[in-house]
Amino acid sequence: MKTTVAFILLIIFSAALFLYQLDKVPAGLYADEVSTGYNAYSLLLTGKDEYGKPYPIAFKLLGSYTPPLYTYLTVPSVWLFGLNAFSVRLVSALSAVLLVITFYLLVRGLRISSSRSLPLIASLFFALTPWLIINNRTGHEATLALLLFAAGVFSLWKGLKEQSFLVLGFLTLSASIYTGHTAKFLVPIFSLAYLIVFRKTLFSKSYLKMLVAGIALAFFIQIPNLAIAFTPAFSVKGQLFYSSEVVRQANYATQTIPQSLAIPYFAIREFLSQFFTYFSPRSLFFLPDPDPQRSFPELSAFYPWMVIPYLIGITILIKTRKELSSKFILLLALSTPIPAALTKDPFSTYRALPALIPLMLIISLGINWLKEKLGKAALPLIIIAIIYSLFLLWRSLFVLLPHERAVTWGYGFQALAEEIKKHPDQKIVIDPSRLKPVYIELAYFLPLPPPLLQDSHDLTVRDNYYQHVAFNPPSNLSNIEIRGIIWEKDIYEEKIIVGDEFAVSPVQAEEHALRKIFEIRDPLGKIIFQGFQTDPIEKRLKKPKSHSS
Amino acid sequence: MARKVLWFLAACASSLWSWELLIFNPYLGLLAIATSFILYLSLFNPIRKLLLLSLLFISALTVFQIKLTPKDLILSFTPAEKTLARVRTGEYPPYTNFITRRWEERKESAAVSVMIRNFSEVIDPNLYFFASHPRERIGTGEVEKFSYLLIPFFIHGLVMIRKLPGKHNLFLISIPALTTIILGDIKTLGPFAFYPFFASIISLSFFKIGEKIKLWAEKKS
Repeated sequence: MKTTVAFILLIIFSAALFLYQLDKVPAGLYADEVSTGYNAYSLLLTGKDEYGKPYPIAFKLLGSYTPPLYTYLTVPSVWLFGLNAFSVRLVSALSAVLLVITFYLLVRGLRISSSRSLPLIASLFFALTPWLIINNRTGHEATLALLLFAAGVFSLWKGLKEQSFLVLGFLTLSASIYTGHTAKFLVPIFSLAYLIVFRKTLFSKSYLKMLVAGIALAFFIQIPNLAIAFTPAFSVKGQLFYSSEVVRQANYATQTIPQSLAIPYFAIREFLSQFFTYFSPRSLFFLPDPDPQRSFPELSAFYPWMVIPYLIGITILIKTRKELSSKFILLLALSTPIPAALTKDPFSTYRALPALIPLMLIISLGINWLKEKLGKAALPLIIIAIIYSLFLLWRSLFVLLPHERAVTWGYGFQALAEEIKKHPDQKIVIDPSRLKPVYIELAYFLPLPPPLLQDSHDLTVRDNYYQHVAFNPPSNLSNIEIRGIIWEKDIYEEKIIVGDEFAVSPVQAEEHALRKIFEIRDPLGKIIFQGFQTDPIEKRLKKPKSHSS
Repeated sequence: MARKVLWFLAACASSLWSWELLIFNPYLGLLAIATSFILYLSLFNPIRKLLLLSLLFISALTVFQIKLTPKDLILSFTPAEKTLARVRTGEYPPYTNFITRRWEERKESAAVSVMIRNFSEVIDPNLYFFASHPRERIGTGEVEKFSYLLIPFFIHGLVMIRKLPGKHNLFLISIPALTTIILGDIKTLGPFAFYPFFASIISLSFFKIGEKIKLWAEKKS
């Protein structure tokens, strides 16, 4: 009874944490979120994406050909709540709540501890993990992908005892391939490793039937993906591989070793260095993800104090490596970072998100050991850890992030859209230098009718949707032109010129008779956008000077 | 004994860090190698003499590291950090100032954050086997310490050490650990006071594998 009540409280707390100010924190909506949300809106109204493609198997978006499940699930959210930050992020937040439940079931199922409280404590810290929270507050597919992966993993663990779960496990893992690019690599790798490590059980007579059924069904639901498997769209992420870096290092070393040895040496070095980064305490507990959109200021993937149970957990895992649950955790831990380790991004918490599960399990092992060793002294320490973690989270998520990363998250575009709405009959030129893809942000916040954006795109894209992988954003949206300022022309026509603080200097504004009509600043007071009204008559009356642009 | 020495020398020769230290300062390099050798021997035979010698040499190596480490003022903010702390204090809601001012602007916060950063660098396996790649420390010309090919030997050595009588001598690592966390290290050479621990563990692995190969060869013949 007590455990049930505590579990319900945990879920309520998680839901509150993940949903609180979901639309305000992070401030703004960055291009990938806006792109997903607008395509869901376009599907809702027209049955087609922003390029005019009906019900795609993979969404082109900004050239990423993202697997479709998250976008389709966002359609009802947009229908219910409209086109705003909350509707785009809702599916991600709800996935995170379900993920906490799945993690709880996994910890209980693995029997890391005989204690009833350990799964609750572990799940609470899981819910508080910065790595999870930054992804749940982003309107993209990562958390949904993690949910399906975790559910599949849990089912496959149960499947080692009850064969029927094998079917559910493989089906869920297969479904996760429709959520993100990482799953395309991770699911086959993990599934193969699972079959090898547990082959004695899985290939026994009593399990074989369910195993074959599970794998067959998993392949069956991949038929839509197989239809585009040999198109450029399916392998668009291949550019992330670090082959050029390997060749560069090998060329540098050919003074001492032959290239036939240098290339494999440096290729393995590159992979292992990336792989070990996902286990390095420095990366996990002390350094944020280098991508400012994938991290909080001053906070890493986990809290700093978690390095202690992490190191203890690793020791326990190695000592008990022959036990079934430890084998399973090791299998997860060694397979989940592989897709991310094949890319050139140093420590990508987005691509390595599935590694959150085994790493948190390892930390839970350490917490359990400490709890058993400290006895009654454990409870006050756990409370201190919770309070400290909450303080660090509050500081990074609700104080520093909305101020310091606002522009990174597309803050200002909503206000810009409001300014544009005030001038429906004016021509507007927006200088996109140094800005995120402008067209989709404006399409989202104006909002632009989907047929208009569909016609603004290159029409050949919809006919060769999965072949035409080049991304060329439209430069004309209704009365808006998205291009660099043509000083020889624009200042002699009646229009509004918009850019960042460097697009038009005060000297240029004075020289070309430009009148500032609006300014949009970030929470720290820095200018994001400036809008100038041209005055062609005044300009022509001014003495001619040499054009400065 | 001869075989132990041979495998030890092989481990030192295979480590780029040994050569970097010898090139930087031959006395430093020899001190590091000698320290490693004494520690390595003490793992097999934990007699008091060897333990005391290990303590002495590790302390000497640590003092060498302290002398070479630039003494950044860890109890002070740099001008950039002062500006950031001031800006950040303004980001908090006013009613939290009584906590947040202390958190952002006190010298102790600067000292703690530097020590945490030093600690994180010291326990980063990538520092030792990949020259901190792919997260190289900014402004640091990282040097290669041990090739990644030695990782399996290092792990094997860690496993083998559990069976040795002198395994507790590895706790001497706390001496350089403490000083490196507080003061940092000379970034271009890395925390070389840790070199003996890596070298002795890898030497142990080489020795154990060498013994296994010898036994196998004897059985065959």
